[in-house]
Amino acid sequence: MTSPPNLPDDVLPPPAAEADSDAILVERTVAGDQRAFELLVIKYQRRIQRLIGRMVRDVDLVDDIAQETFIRAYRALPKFRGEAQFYTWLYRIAVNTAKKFLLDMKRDPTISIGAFGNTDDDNETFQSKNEPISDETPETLFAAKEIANTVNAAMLALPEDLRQAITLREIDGLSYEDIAHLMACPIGTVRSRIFRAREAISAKVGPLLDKQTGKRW
Amino acid sequence: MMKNSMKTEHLNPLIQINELQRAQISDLADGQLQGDAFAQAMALMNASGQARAHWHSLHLVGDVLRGKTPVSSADGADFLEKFRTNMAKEPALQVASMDTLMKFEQAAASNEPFFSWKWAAGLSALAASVMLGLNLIGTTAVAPVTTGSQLAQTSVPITVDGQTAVMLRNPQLDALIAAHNQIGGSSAFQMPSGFLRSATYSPAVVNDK
Repeated sequence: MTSPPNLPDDVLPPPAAEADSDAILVERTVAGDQRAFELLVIKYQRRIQRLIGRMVRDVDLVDDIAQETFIRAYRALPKFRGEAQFYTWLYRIAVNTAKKFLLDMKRDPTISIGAFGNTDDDNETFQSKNEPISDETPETLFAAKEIANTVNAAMLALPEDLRQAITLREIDGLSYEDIAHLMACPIGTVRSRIFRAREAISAKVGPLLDKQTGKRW
Repeated sequence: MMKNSMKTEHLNPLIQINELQRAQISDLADGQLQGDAFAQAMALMNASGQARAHWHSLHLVGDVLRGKTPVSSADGADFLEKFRTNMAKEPALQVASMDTLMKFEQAAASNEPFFSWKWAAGLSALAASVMLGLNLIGTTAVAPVTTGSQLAQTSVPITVDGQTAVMLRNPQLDALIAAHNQIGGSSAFQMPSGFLRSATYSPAVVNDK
């Protein structure tokens, strides 16, 4: 159930259970709570930036296109009918926005289209090249690798039950109900294990993110 | 929801929100909150920058766990700040609530008898149908009568094998047949029979010669 090994995670839609929380936030945004949409922005910002970074190899453009993507998504949100997952829908907006930017700049948008594939992950043939997005400097790349190594080390240090719970949730995308069934425990226990696993990982990663957990959130 | 007996030794010292609130954010990330609990978590997210930072951290960790490539450590706070600036220029979403929609539907229903355009449209359609029908009938009336059902206009008594019968005849058709010495209108090959005229045996013509 894990992602195919040759696919970047920003191409794949999020796990199905994760989409439930998106749906609630979308509903809340459409009801008039703009802050709910900000949570979706925080959640998907990195994936969208990385997606655009493979299409538009221009450091200055990636952020602008990502911003425009979220603005467009916000405007179009009342038309979002929930037939696709929110991220799939957002992904298409990002691709179209990037294409438009490239066309406006009289560049050839077909040059990098092959880097995208599509969100139908079953027939995906995209080959990940592990390329950094365009706005990554050696410093940020090093920091990202450090974060990844820290997260993976924290995962390995978790007790078996916590590691299994967080793996089933984050990687396999199972619902709490399914995890409870698999682990033969109550849903409350699943919730507790997932939370404790996240706390343990956050404790290790937090110091690396201290520059980001500033006062502007 | 979360038990107080939960371990606290792994708490991130940089995140000042309490354990219960972090548990709420964890549940929110997994779509596990509904009703009052959801509203409470949203209020926390709207009020606390640290709560948002924790939300960011949770999803960053999730991205790392799911991804094969290093996750960008781009500053989410900067991006969000810029997004807020851009959003400040955006009008609020104009989405009609269900109540509003219901009122609109009711208002339309109460105005139904006064929508005279519906009557006008119906009468126009009826008038157009009548005109078309009359036009069709008129065209048919002046057209030459050539259909098979209208050929039989007279009846001629005939005797076949001692039995009397009536054969329906059309004088116009009889005249045409007489003029062309033809009995059929087309050959066996379904071709116009004119080219066979010279091959038709006519005793009257032979006798005249």
